[in-house]
Amino acid sequence: MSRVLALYQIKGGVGKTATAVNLAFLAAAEGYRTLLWDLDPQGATSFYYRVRPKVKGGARKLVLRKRALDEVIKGTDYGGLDLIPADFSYRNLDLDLAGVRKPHTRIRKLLKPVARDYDLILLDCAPGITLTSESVFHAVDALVVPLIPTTLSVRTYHQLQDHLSVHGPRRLPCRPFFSMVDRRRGMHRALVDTLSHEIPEILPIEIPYSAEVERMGTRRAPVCEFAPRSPVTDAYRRLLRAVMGQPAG
Amino acid sequence: MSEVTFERCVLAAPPGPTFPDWTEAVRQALGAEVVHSARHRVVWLDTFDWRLWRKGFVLEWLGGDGCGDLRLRRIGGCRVEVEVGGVKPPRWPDDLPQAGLRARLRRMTAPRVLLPVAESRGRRALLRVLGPEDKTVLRLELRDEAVAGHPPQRLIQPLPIRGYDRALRGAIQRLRAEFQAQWAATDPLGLALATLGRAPGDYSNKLAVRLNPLDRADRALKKILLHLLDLVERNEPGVREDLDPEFLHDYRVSWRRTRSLLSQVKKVLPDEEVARFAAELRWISGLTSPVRDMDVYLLEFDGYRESIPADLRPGLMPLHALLVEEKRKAHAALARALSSRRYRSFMQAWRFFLEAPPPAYTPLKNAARPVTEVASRRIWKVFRRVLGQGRTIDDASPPEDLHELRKTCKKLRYLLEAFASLYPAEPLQASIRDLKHLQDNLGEYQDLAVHAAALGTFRERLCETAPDPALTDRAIEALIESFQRRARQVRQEFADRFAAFDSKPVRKRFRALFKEDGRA
Repeated sequence: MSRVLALYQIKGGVGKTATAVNLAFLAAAEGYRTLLWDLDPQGATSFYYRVRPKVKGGARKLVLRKRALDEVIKGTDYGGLDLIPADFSYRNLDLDLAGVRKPHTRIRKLLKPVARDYDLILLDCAPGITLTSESVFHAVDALVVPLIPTTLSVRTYHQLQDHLSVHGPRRLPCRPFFSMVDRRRGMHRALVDTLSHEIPEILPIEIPYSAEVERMGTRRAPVCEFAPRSPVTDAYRRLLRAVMGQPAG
Repeated sequence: MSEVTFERCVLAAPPGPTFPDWTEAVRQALGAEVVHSARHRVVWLDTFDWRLWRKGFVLEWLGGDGCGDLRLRRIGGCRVEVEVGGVKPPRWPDDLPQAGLRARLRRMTAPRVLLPVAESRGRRALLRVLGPEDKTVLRLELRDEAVAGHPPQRLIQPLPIRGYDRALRGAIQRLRAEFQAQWAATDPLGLALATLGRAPGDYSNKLAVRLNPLDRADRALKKILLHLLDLVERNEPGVREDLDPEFLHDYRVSWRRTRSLLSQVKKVLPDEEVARFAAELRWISGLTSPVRDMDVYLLEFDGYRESIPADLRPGLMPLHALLVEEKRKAHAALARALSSRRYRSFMQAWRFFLEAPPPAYTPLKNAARPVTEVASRRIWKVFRRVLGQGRTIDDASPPEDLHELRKTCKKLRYLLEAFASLYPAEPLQASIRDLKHLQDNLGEYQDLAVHAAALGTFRERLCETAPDPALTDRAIEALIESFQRRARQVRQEFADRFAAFDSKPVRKRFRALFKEDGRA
């Protein structure tokens, strides 16, 4: 039985893609058969893994099940890690989903045939509350939510919870964690302390703001691969253990 | 090009240029780059009973003198399922730092140790072919390797990347055309084992003896007993070294089957000799039981912990230490016995007896009869006994009655398995399944009672030695209570299980198989 997780936040620019790229890499290195689905039409995840952001037939054929997910999976340069690339047509994913019966269960149904081949499936979602994100909510075991310690980011987390309580599937767990934390900034420090008490489900993990992460764009590889001993890699490792339910080591 | 798929595994190339020249020629032909090239060792790992192979997997470690890569792939296929780096060949899944592979291997192999099943040495070069944007579209491993004392083989192992089949097809075409490479008939592990004159999956604890239905009963019985002796001997080194608990388990089961057959199949082998051997078999059984008991408690220990409240769990640690110590002592005694003159002469005498051809004339009533006749009669009789004993059991019956029934069921099961080849496979396997369903219930009930009684003894011993005797006492008490609760449940299920076994279709199937005249 594979575990399906989505990297999701209503707000953009919070480190979703960097987290998805690195968690997937580390999971594969731990021997989990891993599939990463780049659902963001910007295709940053596909870019980092050097896979052309192109899905034959586009989002529509996938949604209409005229093309199986299995056919569009691409292996990355790393053993045990496969990717479903982004496609520019994902910008119309909401429209395509709106045209089918029970759109909220569609992503779950698409994943079902490939799920047995993987131990972990990670969905890297585009920001915003859309029909696609609702379909994602119904496909996953938990949401992994990056939270920059800023007022706006926290506000959107509360919005997400309000939304889930009304429209989400029942008891969908959220695993928020602190992302892009800059300990030199007083507000980050203060908010991390306050929120750790205010949000009981928050994971005690801080992914530091790091110039190394930005180098992923030029290196076109996960930071955990080219800087395996950096503090940020260490933080991603702890995040992986937390979301996979392993004891912290 | 249907032949170029993940389902093919490895290409064999004829010997020719030196390894560096060959690597360079392949690199140029494919427009690839060499990631690394070094001396290497391949160690294939599996459990003694081939649990990975039987589930369709090959586990191979590739490296030099220090750490290397561990790879899990499907038999005969080149698609790597999981690959982790920086490890030594593990003995146990728990030796691996990588949680994903560790959990997967544990699920497939526990509680068995991973043993090297074959090893080869040579040179290895990893090549990769890059596509647009420097994306790797194909990896290839070139290997010159030899199993000790045998000539080297030149192998090309494609490591294709999903979704880039065109790169794979192109490379295979060129390798075949320019380097005379051919798909090998089997997996690299199969190739290595074939060199050693072995085949994968060459051990099973199943009693797979093919008998001639018209053969004399004594000859057929000896054939079965010889097969059981082979199983005993194959497990013996693992028992001596205590490599994992399954060696002793299979060793004991083979002896128990032997004892059961000797007592069940009467007037086939001479009584005095059988009695002499049976005494020695009881001796061996007495030596192995304490070790097996401790193995079982230790294997179940995590389950014990889970079944009691979290605050009591630390109280079980002294129990664990006691079990480990008892196991150590019992195993030392067993190892001494296995090295004793008494054991060696018994083993020699037993083999000599079994290998001796049966006499042309025998006064024993059943010895020269066709084996099918003797087996059917005995199986039918024991089956009737199971029904008879079971029918007398009601809700008020004492546990001893269930224990007696359990023993009779076991006898029946051993008979069915030993003589399986004499009967049509499908109804026979169905009969074994029906019996197993009943045995599972009886076995669990008995185990719970035995475990609860043993825990009672340990509890008394630990009340003096445990660092916190009160906590240990409460923890063991909670455990005993959980056993008793479960035992009550299992006891309640017995009536239904037995009714299912004592049903018309089951009786009819047994009758058709074992009662010649077909009457009840």
